[in-house]
Amino acid sequence: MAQLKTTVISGDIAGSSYVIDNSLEKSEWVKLSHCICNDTEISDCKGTGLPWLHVRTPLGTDNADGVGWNPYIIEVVGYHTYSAECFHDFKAVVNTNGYSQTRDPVNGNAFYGSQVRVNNTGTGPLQSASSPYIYESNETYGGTNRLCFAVRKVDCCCTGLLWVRFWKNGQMSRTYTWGTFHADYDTDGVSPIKYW
Amino acid sequence: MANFKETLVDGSLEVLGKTNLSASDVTGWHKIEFTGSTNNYMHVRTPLRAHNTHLGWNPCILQVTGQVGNSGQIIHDFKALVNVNGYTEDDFYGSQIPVDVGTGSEPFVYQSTNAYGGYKRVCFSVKQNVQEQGYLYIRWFNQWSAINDYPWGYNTSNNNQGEF
Repeated sequence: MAQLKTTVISGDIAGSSYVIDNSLEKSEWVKLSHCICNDTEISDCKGTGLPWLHVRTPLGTDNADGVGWNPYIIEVVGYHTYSAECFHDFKAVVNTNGYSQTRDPVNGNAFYGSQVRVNNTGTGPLQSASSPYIYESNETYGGTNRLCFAVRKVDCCCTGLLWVRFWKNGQMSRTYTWGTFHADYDTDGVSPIKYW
Repeated sequence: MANFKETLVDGSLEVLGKTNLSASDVTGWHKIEFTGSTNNYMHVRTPLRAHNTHLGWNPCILQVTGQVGNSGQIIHDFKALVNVNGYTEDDFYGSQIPVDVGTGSEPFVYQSTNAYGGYKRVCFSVKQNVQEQGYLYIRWFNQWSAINDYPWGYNTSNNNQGEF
């Protein structure tokens, strides 16, 4: 790997991967596309109508992942379908109770989840639906629980894109694989959800 | 042109041009600095084609942040979804603005009437009738490479569309 000292580039810079600014701990945007279209699974393409998209991010939610009393912001921008029927533009603060080393199996309250403080949708003439919900996976992936979220989608097989980034802990955005799935529920408010 | 593989910069990295990253597929910000006039609207012509070759059933999110006036009289902060009917090469879905959290901004997104470099372009207007300094920062999500497709243009008028 090349190593440069302080560098000035007099023209443009283009990258086929990411530029990580370690001094900011902020991740680059991670782009996700969605629309599951195959012949074997339940699929929106068949008109089954599953109006929630779930995303599993690589960020661990346990204290051992370094997030106890170490809140950070997840930011999501995106859409589903061609006329912004669902449009996403929100920021949420996520946190883990530093006193509990792992997920509390009884109360499930070690993780402070869907604290969506900025949600720039649902206003204006388009009334675009988003309804973001942030949660912790019930099961572990790669040995730890992961930060997940759900947003609304339209029950059609149409183009949809999401961009996700993290303010702080950004270096974790590439430490595990991302996952997406669609479902007919976001949560009942008590027992999340897709990523068991 | 220098061509690096994975590289670590042990210090600061300053880029005098633009930064474009294909993995994120988000353009770098483009800055326009101007002095407002008595005309009602500032119009911007972006390099993004309002045409199937960039947008056919493949929407982009256009984001604009900026202001005009020394006292924050007008602040722009909106996101628009721009799209073209994939069946018709330049049937543009225009001013779909689900997020507009500015002040006095009045954003309107439209397709240029004329072709520039062979294609109609995505344009927008915002309110600007304050004769003081202003600036706009513009970027879009999806189709990052389109930012180099054609030169930018801007102008003012009293109408909020049809300038280009």
